[in-house]
Amino acid sequence: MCKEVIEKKFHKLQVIIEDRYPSVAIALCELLGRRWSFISGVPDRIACPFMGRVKISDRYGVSVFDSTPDRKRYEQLTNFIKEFFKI
Amino acid sequence: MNLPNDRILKEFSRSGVSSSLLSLSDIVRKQKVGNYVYFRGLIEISNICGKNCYYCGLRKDNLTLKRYALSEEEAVNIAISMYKMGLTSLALQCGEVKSDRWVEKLVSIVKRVKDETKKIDVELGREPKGAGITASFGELEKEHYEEIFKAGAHRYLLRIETSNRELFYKLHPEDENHSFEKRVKCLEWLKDIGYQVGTGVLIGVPGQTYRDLLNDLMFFQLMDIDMVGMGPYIEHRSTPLYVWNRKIIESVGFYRKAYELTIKMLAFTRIIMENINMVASTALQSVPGGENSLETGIMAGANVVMPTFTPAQIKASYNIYDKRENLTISEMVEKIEKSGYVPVLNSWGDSKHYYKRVKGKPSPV
Amino acid sequence: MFQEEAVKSWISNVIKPEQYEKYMENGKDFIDDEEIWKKLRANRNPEPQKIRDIIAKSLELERLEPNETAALLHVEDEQLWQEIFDAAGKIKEKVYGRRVVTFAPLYVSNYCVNDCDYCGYRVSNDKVKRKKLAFDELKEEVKALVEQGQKRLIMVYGEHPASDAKFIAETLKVTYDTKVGNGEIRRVNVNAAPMSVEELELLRDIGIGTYQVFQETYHHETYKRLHRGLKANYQWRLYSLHRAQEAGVDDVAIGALFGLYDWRFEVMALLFHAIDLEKRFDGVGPHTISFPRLEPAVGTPFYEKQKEYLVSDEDFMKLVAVIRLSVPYTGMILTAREPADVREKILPLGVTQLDFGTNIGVGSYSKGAFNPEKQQFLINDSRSLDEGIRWLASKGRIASFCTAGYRCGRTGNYFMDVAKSGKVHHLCMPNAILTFKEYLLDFASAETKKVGEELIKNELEAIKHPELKKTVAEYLERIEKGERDLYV
Repeated sequence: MCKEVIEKKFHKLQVIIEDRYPSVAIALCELLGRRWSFISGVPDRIACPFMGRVKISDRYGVSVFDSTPDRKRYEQLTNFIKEFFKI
Repeated sequence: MNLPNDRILKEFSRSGVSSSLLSLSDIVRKQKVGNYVYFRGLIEISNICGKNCYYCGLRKDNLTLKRYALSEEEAVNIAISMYKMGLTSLALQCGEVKSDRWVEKLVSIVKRVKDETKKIDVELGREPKGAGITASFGELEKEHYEEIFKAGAHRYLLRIETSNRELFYKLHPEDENHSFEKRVKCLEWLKDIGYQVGTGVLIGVPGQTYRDLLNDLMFFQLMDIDMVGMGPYIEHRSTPLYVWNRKIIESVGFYRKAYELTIKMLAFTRIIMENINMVASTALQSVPGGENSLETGIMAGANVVMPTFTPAQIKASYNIYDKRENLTISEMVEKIEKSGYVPVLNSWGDSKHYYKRVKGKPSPV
Repeated sequence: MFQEEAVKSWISNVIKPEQYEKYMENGKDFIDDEEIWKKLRANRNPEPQKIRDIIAKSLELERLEPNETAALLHVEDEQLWQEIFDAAGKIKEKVYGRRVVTFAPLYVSNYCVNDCDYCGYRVSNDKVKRKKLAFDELKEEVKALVEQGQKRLIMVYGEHPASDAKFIAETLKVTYDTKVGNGEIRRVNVNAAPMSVEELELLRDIGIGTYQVFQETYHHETYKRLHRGLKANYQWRLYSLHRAQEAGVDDVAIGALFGLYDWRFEVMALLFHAIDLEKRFDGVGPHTISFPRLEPAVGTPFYEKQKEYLVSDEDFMKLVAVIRLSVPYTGMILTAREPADVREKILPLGVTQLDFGTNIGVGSYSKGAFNPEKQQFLINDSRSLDEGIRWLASKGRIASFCTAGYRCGRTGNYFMDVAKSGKVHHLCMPNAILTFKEYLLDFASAETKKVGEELIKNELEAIKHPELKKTVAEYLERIEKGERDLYV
């Protein structure tokens, strides 16, 4: 999947997550070796505890942040995100 | 880039290969021809030969060898299957036979391969360029070369074996069938006609001196050659050269030296000629005691490999020398990628040197 | 036997003019020497109110304009300087909190093709022993550092084909792969020669942290006088960080070697450099700024000749404070090149990174030896990591080994946006606490542990966000139980 396609999908995902999990924020990252480099997301909103990251392809991934950290919610989200990008 | 003669000779004489030499050749290689290694599918059409070179297993007087000749149909079919596999650059080779009928057959093979591969291009929606064809059929008449060129071969290989006339006649009978001058003349004809011309020498053959190798380097420069194919001398038991020099050949370190000299010759040629094409010959890959010879050859500057597609049953008969090693394409690709270079199968990979030499035409690569 | 030709051939292919020419306007780069001097001259004898306005602007975490920096550089009044120094400390705390990141330098190869008058590694200095670490030696060096408790390194390389991008990439890989028990290196920054975009992509792919290239001096004429050969190309060096950004390495570091030319000029130039990077790359400026001061080294007579531009300790404090105010959210590194008493004076002025346990000879960590013949300059603060951490704790600063940012996407634009709004310290402090805890458990001396635990208790209390506090407390427990590399 090319960058534009992934970015579009990511934005759709953002809307869904904002609605369903208001304490959660996500960032789309480009995977460069160990570096997950910020591509898209709301900087202000991701300045809260980091929960984990989900690789969606060799090149891209989604970082998940939650202002009220909840392990179960994070696990649910991981599956949801994987489904969303069809992994 | 020019290097002083005394340093070249010094490097030849030391044992081992200077790592700085390989660093330099690798740098020049990457700068001038990139880190690509071009593939040419090789078909050995026939092992019948009219010559009697003292070092070669295909020589006329070797009566123990089973001789074969692919039919036109067979040769063309092999070429087509290679092309369909993705190898767009091919090399056709055979022993030297000067008869008109034989040349007619070769011309026909070249023409049909060109036509059929162009048809395949059209089917695949590509520009109808067809295969890039290298011919290596020995010394022929100028008209023969012209016909083969018109038929569609645009590269030709003719090894001079050595630029030293005296050494040449230690390796070949001194008669009109093996004329040093005629061979050099052929190279000039090929240039005139417009071929990308390749030549090369035997390395490490008994009787050869370091100065001979130095002069070979100068010969390449003088002839302004576009491609170089050379490799270590490897014995063939049924040849006079082996019989005459058995003791030296079987001495410890003989092949080690031939291998190292080959690597050094490749490196120096790359450094001096810069943008030519150079093959990592099968002999280089076969020489006894040369581990990682393919990879080292590439680092030394070789940017072409020629995996052979001669049918298995007759492959053993194309026996220029003993102990021949033939890697498969995927084996070659793996080794090349592992050493950090880029194997290229689907491009003609023409010699940049040629285009600089004839000036004007941009490389179709 | 053919080294000379190999090196020459390599050199002739290094610089790719098209990669910097595209950034230039009318054949000029973004440092206009005349303009800088004009601005400096125009802002002499600044009015106290003007200065106070500028200080207020900085406290709002807004980047200053060149004229404002020029004004600060001309303050004469002692009282005003005190206000500037205070503001510097406050600004840093506002952005990052009371934490200081600790790291160690690792010199990998001192082969160099350049001949810079001021450097111990210049090619004409035959008193220096040339060495490049083999991979097994590198592993030993990294192990020694990991066993100290170090988690962040800056790896340093001379400019030479022996330490080209490919080699650097390999060393990064070896370093990241070397682990000893709970110890590992989590972030590797690189200080090396200017590279092409393609080479930087190689480093990006392998996981480089920050790419550092110091301009040494931004003054064109002085630069020309001091450099020959490859390094003489001012723009190839100047635009290194632009190329890095282009290649996707979004953490870049700039710096100047103070003592080569007028220090006020260099401060102005550093600001111009940060501005141009922000302009070209969507507001993303340098991650850190460094300000090494010219020091004597073995075989460098140059130091003797530079009396005019050497920076006094007093002026050094001023230049650091002005940089702090000019780019409020950019990290500032103060190395152990400076003696302990100087670091003590400069710490309150907003420094964010310090190295301890430092050894700068190639191959010296595993031997633990002091080897002046293999060093670029002399080290003045030779305190160990443990001592340094204890000292920081005594100053109320937590030592942080945090490497969260670049592993979870808090990089580039994100970082700039959030740092500028002062929200970074919400996360910097918790992560400092967590990594500090790891250090105390795995590596600290009993003395340091005691002081450290006190500090953690206080800083944990100080976390305002209740959910965050809960998470940090939970993670601290998990770390006690043996988990590692937890971050928020």
